[in-house]
Amino acid sequence: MPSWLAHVSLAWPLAKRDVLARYRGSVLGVAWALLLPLGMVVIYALVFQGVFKARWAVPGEVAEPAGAFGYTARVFAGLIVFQAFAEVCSRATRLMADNANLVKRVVFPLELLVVALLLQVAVHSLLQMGLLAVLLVLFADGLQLSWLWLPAALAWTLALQFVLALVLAAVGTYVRDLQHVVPVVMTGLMFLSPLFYPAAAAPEGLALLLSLNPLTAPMEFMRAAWFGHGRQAVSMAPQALALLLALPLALALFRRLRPGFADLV
Amino acid sequence: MDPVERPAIELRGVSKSYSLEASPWRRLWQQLRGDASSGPRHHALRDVDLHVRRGEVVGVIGRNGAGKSTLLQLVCGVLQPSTGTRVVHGRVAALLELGAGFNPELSGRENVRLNGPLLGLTPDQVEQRLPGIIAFAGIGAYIDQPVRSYSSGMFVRLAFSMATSVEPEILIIDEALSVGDDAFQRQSFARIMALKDRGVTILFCSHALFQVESLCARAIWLNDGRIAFDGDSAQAVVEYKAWMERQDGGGARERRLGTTRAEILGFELASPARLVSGEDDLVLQLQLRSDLALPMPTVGIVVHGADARSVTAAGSWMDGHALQRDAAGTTRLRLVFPRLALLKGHYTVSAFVMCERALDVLAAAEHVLAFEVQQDHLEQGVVSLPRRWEALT
Repeated sequence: MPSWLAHVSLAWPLAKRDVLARYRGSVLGVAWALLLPLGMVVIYALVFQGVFKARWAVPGEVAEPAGAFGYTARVFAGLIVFQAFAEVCSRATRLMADNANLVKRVVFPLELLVVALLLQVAVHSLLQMGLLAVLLVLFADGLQLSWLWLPAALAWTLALQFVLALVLAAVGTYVRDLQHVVPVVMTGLMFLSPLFYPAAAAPEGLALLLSLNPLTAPMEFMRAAWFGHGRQAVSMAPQALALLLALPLALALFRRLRPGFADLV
Repeated sequence: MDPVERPAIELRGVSKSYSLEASPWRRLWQQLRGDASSGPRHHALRDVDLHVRRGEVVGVIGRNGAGKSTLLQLVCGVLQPSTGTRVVHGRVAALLELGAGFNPELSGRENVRLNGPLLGLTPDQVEQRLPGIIAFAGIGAYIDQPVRSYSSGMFVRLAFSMATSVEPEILIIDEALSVGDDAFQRQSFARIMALKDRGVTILFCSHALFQVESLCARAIWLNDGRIAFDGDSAQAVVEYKAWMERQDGGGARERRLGTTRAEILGFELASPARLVSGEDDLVLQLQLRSDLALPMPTVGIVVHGADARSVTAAGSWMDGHALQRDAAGTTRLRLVFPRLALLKGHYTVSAFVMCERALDVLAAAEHVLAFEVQQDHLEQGVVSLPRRWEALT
């Protein structure tokens, strides 16, 4: 067993430290983790639905239970996943620099910094998912059998985040430019991911881009789990395979570049 | 191998070099190919061999940039050697950067709880030691305030208290004691001494050479990434000092240092500046003021030759002379070297006021007095030793 896996229990205190520190001293505390995405989603729904008259229409399906809440809930479901990716990716690029003390002064399996980042973001995602579940029970169809897929969708999300964070953390330590590039790329990806529309509704050119975007699969998977059609999971098998192949490659890359970290931060 | 015989630290032919490559892409490429040795390099350590036995206390001295910190980081395992092998047996506690994992927003207590696992403590052990850690840090109710509100002294006290509470087998100290106030320095030194007595292997790096001399039996002097001397700590300090004086262009330079804890008010020759070897007495008078709140300090007098090397020294603590001071904290004393045995030459004298254990220098007047010794015979050297010739039949 690699040494970092043996020490994986160390990642939780690190994550906890950052979560606690983040809301310490603010009046509403951890409620911000829910209020901010909720605020965002209301704004998006108002703009896209109110101004652009967007509808959540999947071709070939009976018109979805439209209405303001149906659209908003779907955007929220996607946004939970997308936000988690955006945060993991932009923070990964400066992960080593932010933790320079641990990199330079403490003997420490550095993969755990990546795990801690994931855990920390996952805490927020879980809170938001809980909120969405409550909203769906109160205002929509209530509990769904397809929700059993949620853990699998979450696992997919985490695995992909792990791959991206390992690569961005390792390369970003060498090439600082990534710190500036990644947030911009994430803003662009917001529109090139199936966030405000279902992937199936995308026109041909965009559909190609969507199929190349690694975020598409977990976002669609997660939404399918929330809104009751698990069948999409089957068609995503090749992407799942690619993800499983990428995991060891990302770990190998991280390990290869790690000896230089202490000299660079 | 028998665990007692097994060395605690063993470095063989260890070198560490850093890439000076400025282009990030080329550096990334170098690392990816695994060819880290190409391109311009800075060599921080070259071919270092170091064997430290269990329970040994070794000082590390040398100028800034000589590779001391790199050596300590290599021993802890934070840095990997570029070439050579490193073997370390036992749990290492490193006082390299105190409080490295502390988060300023969290309280002292939370930081101790969350950082305990980083130092290898289980949550149960942390809870068990928490009262002791808080008591030693001596920060009282502040333990539940966010760390960002701490003074730098409080921060370091808590971090030191925590780092030394893990019962290490090997303790690595890099200038950690140069921070914190007087009382804390005393306290932390006592804790290090206690660890030393318990048989902990210690690697101690400091610019305070007297601390190295008093704490360590053995010292290594690093110069330009190489071990220039490895052996008795007193000798290492002498070699290093002599080298430094040569670097400075030779000769003694006058230096004065005073602190709020003590200052030297007057230091003078009460004998002529020109003495006859073996006949005249060398008489020195010293007047100093010390803080009455602190224990009675001690005084050291050093006589240097023309090359600034110490020729002889006298310490009040070594000679068992207890200083006395008046209500204002002023001490006056006189030191006599009867019929000075030094031979022909020019000499300078330094005076040091130190803490009661002669570890910290509180005030110093270095090379402020000068005298000359003359002789009317041809004896060679710097000192005339008492002797006896005997015929063997």
